[in-house]
Amino acid sequence: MTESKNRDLLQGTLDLLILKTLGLQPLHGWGIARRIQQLSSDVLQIQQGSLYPALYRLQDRGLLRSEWGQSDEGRQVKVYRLTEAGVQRLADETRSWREASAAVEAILAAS
Amino acid sequence: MRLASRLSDFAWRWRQRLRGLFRPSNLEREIQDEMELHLEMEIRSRIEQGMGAAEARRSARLEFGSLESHRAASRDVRFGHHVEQVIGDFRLALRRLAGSPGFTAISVLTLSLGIGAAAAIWSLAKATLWPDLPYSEAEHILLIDTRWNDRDNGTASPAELVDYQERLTHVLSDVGGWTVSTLNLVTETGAQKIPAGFLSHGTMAALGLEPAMGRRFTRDEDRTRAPVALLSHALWVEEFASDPQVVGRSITLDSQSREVIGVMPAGAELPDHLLLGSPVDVYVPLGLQPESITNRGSHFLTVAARRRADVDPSLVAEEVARLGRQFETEFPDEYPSDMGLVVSARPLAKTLREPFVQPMVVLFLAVGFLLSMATANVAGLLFARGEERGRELAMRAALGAGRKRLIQQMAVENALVAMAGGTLGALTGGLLLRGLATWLAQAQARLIDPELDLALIGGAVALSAVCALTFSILPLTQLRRQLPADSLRGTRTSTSGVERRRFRRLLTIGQIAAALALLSVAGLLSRSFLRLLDIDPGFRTAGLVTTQISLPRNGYQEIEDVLAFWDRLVRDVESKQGVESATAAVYLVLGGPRGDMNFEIDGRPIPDDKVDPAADWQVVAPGYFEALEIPHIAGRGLRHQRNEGDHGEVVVNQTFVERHFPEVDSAAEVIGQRIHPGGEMTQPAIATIVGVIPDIRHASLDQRQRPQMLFSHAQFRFWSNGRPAPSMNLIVKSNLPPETTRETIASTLRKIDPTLPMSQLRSLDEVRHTSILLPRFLTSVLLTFAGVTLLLTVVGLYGVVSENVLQRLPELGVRRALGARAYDLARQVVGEGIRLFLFGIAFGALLSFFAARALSGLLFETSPAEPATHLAVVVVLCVAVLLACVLPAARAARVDPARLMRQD
Repeated sequence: MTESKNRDLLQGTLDLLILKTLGLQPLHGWGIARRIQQLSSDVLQIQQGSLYPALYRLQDRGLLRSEWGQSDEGRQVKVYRLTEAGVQRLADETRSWREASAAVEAILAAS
Repeated sequence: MRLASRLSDFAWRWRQRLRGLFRPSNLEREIQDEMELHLEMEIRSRIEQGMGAAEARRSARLEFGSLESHRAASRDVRFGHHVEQVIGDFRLALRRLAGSPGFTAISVLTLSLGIGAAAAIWSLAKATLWPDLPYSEAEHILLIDTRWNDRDNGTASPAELVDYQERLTHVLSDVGGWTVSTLNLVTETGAQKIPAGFLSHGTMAALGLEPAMGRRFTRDEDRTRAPVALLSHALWVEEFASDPQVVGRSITLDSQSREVIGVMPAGAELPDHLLLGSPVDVYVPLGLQPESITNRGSHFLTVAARRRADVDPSLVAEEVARLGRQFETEFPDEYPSDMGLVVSARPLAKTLREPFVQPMVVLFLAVGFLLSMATANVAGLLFARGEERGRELAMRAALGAGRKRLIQQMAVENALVAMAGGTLGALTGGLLLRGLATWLAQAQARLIDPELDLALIGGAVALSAVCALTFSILPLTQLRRQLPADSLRGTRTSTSGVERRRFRRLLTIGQIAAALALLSVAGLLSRSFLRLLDIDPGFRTAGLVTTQISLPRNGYQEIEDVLAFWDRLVRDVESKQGVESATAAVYLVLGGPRGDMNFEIDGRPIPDDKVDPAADWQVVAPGYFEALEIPHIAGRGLRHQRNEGDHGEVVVNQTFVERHFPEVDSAAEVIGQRIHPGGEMTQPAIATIVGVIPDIRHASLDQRQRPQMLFSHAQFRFWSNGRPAPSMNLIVKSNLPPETTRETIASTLRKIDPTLPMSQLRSLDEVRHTSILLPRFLTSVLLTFAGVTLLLTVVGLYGVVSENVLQRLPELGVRRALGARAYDLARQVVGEGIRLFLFGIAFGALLSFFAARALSGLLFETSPAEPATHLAVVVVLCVAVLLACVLPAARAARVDPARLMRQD
């Protein structure tokens, strides 16, 4: 049971990271993974095995939508972007993440 | 703008979902493309970072992992996936059920039988125990019951009604009394007899009945016996074509013209005829006359009252009872203390329910047993199936199927069985109800609406839902305890297996017990019913037909007219070809209990503080004893001479002689004794006993013997207040077919008086049949239930025993190989069945003891403890148990060690 709780936590975090990345600009799948890696200075490596299920799940929940479009190199790629609901969710999730991490930080800072 | 984009988001999302649902292959391809592209980009990026092409490809692939499982993971998060899963479970379940048609058919049929029977009995119970009363604020309505020793129909006399109306106003707002009789309605299409309610003022107010059109009649109209009438809804529709202008028209009832002042709403009905008997078609004022208002002797009014809303019901009961006690002190002559007068107020709903409570309790118990039996059987089947599937489930669990998925699949499968059982059960219930309704309609019991109602369907569905839940959860609790490894090894001694078998054994013991109880109840009822059938009523019914004819007051005003009419009718009918004989009687045989009459024996005055003796009475026309073949024990029949003087004749029955002339040795000694019919209250009339007949079952087949007096119609002075009965039952003995007899009587009647209607022609055999319709009904239903229960028990027991044999096959094989005889093995199997049977009998005896108790009031000359019946039931059950064991025992006996060895 502990394992699955762990996964839930990670999943929630991954969802937030994807939403944030797409909040900056629409991207394709590889781009999202790449961007998260860059932004976290290579600390966070996104496994493809979790990326795509997360993308499809977020689509199914109506937070993302996708379109086939042209990449910079002129290739057919599937580009994801936030929906209105996604934008809203990003704001909510960001706020609650900040609150939670501040709270955890406060506890860790206690001596 | 924002809204527009939200809408577009929404539409896109659902388009995707539906695409995933209906075009899954497109979606799969898309996921595939996307992932391959991803991989390609990753490889290119690694090459750009300076990795060798081959190395980049290899490391990227390695890191990416299984394309297939990612794809599956992406697919599974989609919405459509859940739908597909459930659809898949349904498909799987259907395939499985179709794969074992025997199991499916037996479970569904068993369930539908149980549910159908329960639903039908439930509807019947609802209609009888909680009838829809067509009265406003029915909980405030009371029936005032006036009864004493030996007289139990609770009706009141006119003087008592007036007392209830005038002396209880502080607790009762309205009081009314009524009686039901018939009136002849003459219209353009002819004459017909219709049931009529004679209502005192206050009746409709007490019942809260309001005409749908027009008005109630007033106090003055009641007092003056005004020529007004209210129509029932049915009569208004059938005879007056729903004429909206009917109020104000005049109609002819019993040759008297009456003004229609209103029409009652549909469903309005007098309470005593609400559930049984024919509904009243016309309501007229009772019109109590001043001289009858002092009458405390003749009781014929049913009294209803409405209590004041602010008065406590217990206070009302107290006040009513107190008035009864006051009667005794105020009128000691009319109510001597040894009469045991009790006046009580009884809630209407409770009074109506009373006659049905015991039969319904019995039916409820029976159907409860049946339903639990059906459920237990299906549960047993599912357990057996669970055992069979234990390996399969364990295998699938080991291969990674989540427990939630397995539970979901089992639940879907069981839900399918339960829903099918429920649906079929609702249908069965509907059919059963329809059958019951037709049957009960013969006894004029308008108890149930044969249409399937929503509550019935709802109940059936709710029941099947409960069953589905139970069946899903029970086997799954077993699954949880089962370790995959155990099941896969096929360890048959695992704890779960033992527990499961123990549970099934308990179920079977319960079933045997329930079957025993139900069989005993059905057995006792059948026995009692057979005795009823066997009874010799003491008179002939075969070949006799009857019809009721009533004479209106107008046109038959003179005594001579009434007597002449009956004389002529009987004589004319008798003279027709094919008619053997004709006679008439005021009371039809087997028509239920009726009023009694006081009398005094000449020379034995009754002291004022003692009650006059009373006897049932009957009035007959010439030829009655001959037509019904009632013999005389002593003396002769009535001479039917018109007698203007004070002397007349009476024939009495055996019980009359035994009770009132205990000193005589033989019936012949009472011939010549004289009695004063009507007691001291009537004229100084004297009737001489001229004959004694044996006790006949006059009122009903199961009646207790009561003293009876029979008078001649011609000597009306002895049994009426000066007028011969205007309404009699013509009884005709003929060898013609019923239709011809009917036509013969009708044409004779038309010749005498074309305005007179006759009621439906019935044979006395039919009357006899109808008089025991309700016991016949109860007995047949219970016998059917008991039969089904027995069958279910056999099936259940067979399941347990044969499963046991299957599991012990290896052991049996080894023992066979070691030299055990086939007979020993079979005996052991049968022994198992017998053990269960003995436990079942022990519990069942206890159950039957209580069940038989519940029956006692329904049995006729049959003791609830009758040993013969109980013994027979045990024997039947024992035979059934042996039958259930025969096949498995044969299988055990045939066990072939060599084949078993090869199998394992």
